[in-house]
Order: sequence, then structure tokens, then C-alpha cells
Amino acid sequence: MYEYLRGELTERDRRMFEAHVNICRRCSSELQAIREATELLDTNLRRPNQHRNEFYWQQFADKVDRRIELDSEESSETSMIRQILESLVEHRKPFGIGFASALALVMIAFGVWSIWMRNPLSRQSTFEQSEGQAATATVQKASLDSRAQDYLEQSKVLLIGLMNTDTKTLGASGSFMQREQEISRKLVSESADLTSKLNDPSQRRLKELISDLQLILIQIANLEARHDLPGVEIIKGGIEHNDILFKINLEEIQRTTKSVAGKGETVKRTT
Amino acid sequence: MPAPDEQDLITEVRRGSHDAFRVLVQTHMKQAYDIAFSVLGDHDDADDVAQEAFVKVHRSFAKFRGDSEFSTWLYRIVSNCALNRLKHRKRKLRREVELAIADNEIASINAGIRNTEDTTVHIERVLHELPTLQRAVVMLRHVNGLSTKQVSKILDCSEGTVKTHLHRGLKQMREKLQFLKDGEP
Repeated sequence: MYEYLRGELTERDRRMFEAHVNICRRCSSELQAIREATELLDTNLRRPNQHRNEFYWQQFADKVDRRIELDSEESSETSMIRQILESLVEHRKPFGIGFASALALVMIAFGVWSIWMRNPLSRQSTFEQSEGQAATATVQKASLDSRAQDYLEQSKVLLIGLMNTDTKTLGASGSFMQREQEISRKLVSESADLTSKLNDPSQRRLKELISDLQLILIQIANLEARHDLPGVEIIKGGIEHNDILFKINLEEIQRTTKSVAGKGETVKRTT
Repeated sequence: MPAPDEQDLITEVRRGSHDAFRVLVQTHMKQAYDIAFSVLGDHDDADDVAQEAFVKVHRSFAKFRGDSEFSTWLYRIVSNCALNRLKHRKRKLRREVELAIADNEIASINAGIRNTEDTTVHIERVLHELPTLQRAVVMLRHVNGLSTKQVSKILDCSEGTVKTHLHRGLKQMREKLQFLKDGEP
């Protein structure tokens, strides 16, 4: 049926299908259901990658590069151990296996120690979590941070736009903040997800800011379709009263500072 | 066989060119992301899995023989990574409970949104309620416009299975979205 609707059937198959649908009530109603479903999807759904902004896609290849670098470092350490072991087994046959086993133990201990030293999160939780879990937690935290950053950026743009909106001219325009309301709904959904996942103590302030933003975004999303100008003024007052834009800026400054400090540390480590 | 320019890039990558690999990443990143999302239904995980898949591709580039298109090989790796992540997610029972709580919270917070007339929100919700493979097939075949053959290769199943999942998924979506037609949320 789907192939028929997309015009992918051959002429012969298409005719046979149509002849059948004309006499079969069940297939006819199924075809109608599939047609309606595809129409709904065509009209309303975007491809998932379109949920990410241009900035995200510009950074994507860089993120892959960084992960490849890390992966190469790890695999070069592993292959070095393997090479040493192989050469020992080959050239020192009388003592080879015993010596190689002892060396393997030393190298594994060194590997675990180097990973432990490199990753602060792992250091804190060595006795509570396995090494793999700690690494996963670090990746998840970084990914959550980057998502929160995107969220704050989008919210900031939206709120600045709203603060600069003149309610006198707004009433005259036909589309009453439809676009802003649409974005707000998406951001509310995102903020609910973010606040449920931001459980690290270091993310407490960020979580509070996102919760504050969520309330404002819900208010924007729930504005009456037309002429709710007093509602806009109340929201503007709420943004000012809670210093939301100031808090977003503060969060951005702190992030930048952390990022610079992090880079400094990396440079120190490499030198 | 890959398109000539892509074939050139593959040759360059085999010679050790990282720039050529970067071009391949930029060419396929959006499709890779969509495939990961179609399986996982989560943007965070899709981001992580798409990157992870490219790292795996880079690591095992020597194994790519070139009998199939590069994109088919890559997308299959993305799909495998996504399915593994899904299994891993299910194994983590504790995390599953947390997610269930999070879902409830989201449901209560978004009560106002559910009552809106935003059709997109309803469609996305219904799509994510579909079983994994049905959702993946509907998204890859319909939203991303891939052919039945391509989807069957990516998800490692027969073309018949793709057609069945597509039909069932679309039918189920239509049933669950009936209220949009009737005008009652």
C-alpha cells in the first residue's frame, strides 16, 4: 500500500492493486488509514537532525576528531603492551612466559593507574564505581552540559526578543507570537527532561535556573491566541523581577571561565 | 559502488588523510544522526551514538572492502551502535526506573501542552510510543525517504519485514491520532 501511495509500483502492479482495492472494502479502508498517516507525517514532522541548530553541526566533526584522538591514545597504549609481550615470548623462550606474565601485570596496573590519574571523576569514585561506569558518566555529563548550553542560548534569544517586543504594535499584527509560543513549548519539554537529569551537585544552580525558565516558558506557551497583551507585560515583569537574563549571562560567564581553566590544565598536562 | 568523489575520499582516508575522513563525517553526519535517533528516540543518545559510530568507522576503516557502498556500511554501524545502546539502557534497571519517574514528571508538567492544538507534539509522542523497530522503519523509510532495500540493510532485516513494520507502524499511528480528525484531544 505504501509503495502505491508513493508511486513506487510498476504500471502493471498499480493497476492490479487498484482493481483489488475497488472491490475490497477492508483494503480500501486500510489504504485510507495509511494515506492519512503519511499526510500527517508529511505536514507536521521534521527530520530529527533539523532539531539541532547550525552551530551544533559546525561542531560535530570537531567532536568526532576529539574522540578519535582519545581512541587512538588508548589503542596505542594497548598495542605497545602487546608488542612488548610478543617480543618477549619470541626472544626469551626459556623465561619468556613467566617474565611476560609478570610484565603484563605491571603494565595493566600502570594502565589502570594512568586512566585513574587522567580522569578526576574516576578518581573520586574508584571505590564506588567501575572504571567503565565513571567514563560513561563523564561523557553523559558533558553531553548534558552541552544540551543545557543550547537550551540556555535558545531561551535567551527568545526572552530578549520578548523583552524588546512593543505590545502596542504587537496587537496590530495577525500572528500573535505564534513562533515564540511554538519554540516555548519545545523548550518546556526540553527543560523538563533536563531538570530530571541534572542531578550532579555541581549542576544545582543550573538546574534551578532551568526550572525558573521553565515557568516563564510555560506562561509564554499558554498565552491566549490573540490580544493577550496584559499577559505579555506580566511575563516581561517576571523576567525582570527574577533577573533571568542576568542569571543566564552569569551562567555563560562561568562556563567560559571553566572552559578556559580546563584548556589551561590540558596545556599544562601536555607540556 | 560509491560515487566517484566519495571513492576518492575513501582512497585518501586509506592513505591516512584525516581531512578526507572529516569530509566523509560532514557528508554523512546528519543521516547518521537521524538513524541513531530513529532507533533511540532521544536526541542526547543520538548525538553520542552518531559520534561513537564515526570513531568505530575510523578505527576499522581498513576492514571496509568496498563491496558495498560506504554509506551502507557506515549506517549499519550506526544502527548497531544504537541497538547496543538500547540494550545497555534496558539492562540498567535503575536508570530505567529513573526514566519512568522523569516521564511522569514530564507528563504532569506538560499537561497544558497536551491540551494545545499543536499537532506536531501529538505526532512526535505517538511516534515515540511505537515499538523500536516500527519507529525506526517509519522514520527511515518515510521521514528520511530511504528505500525499502536501504532500510533493510541498515536494520539487518528482510525487505518483507521492513514493509510489515512500516504498514503496522503507520496504521497504529493513524489509530492513535484519530482524535485529531475528530477534533477531540
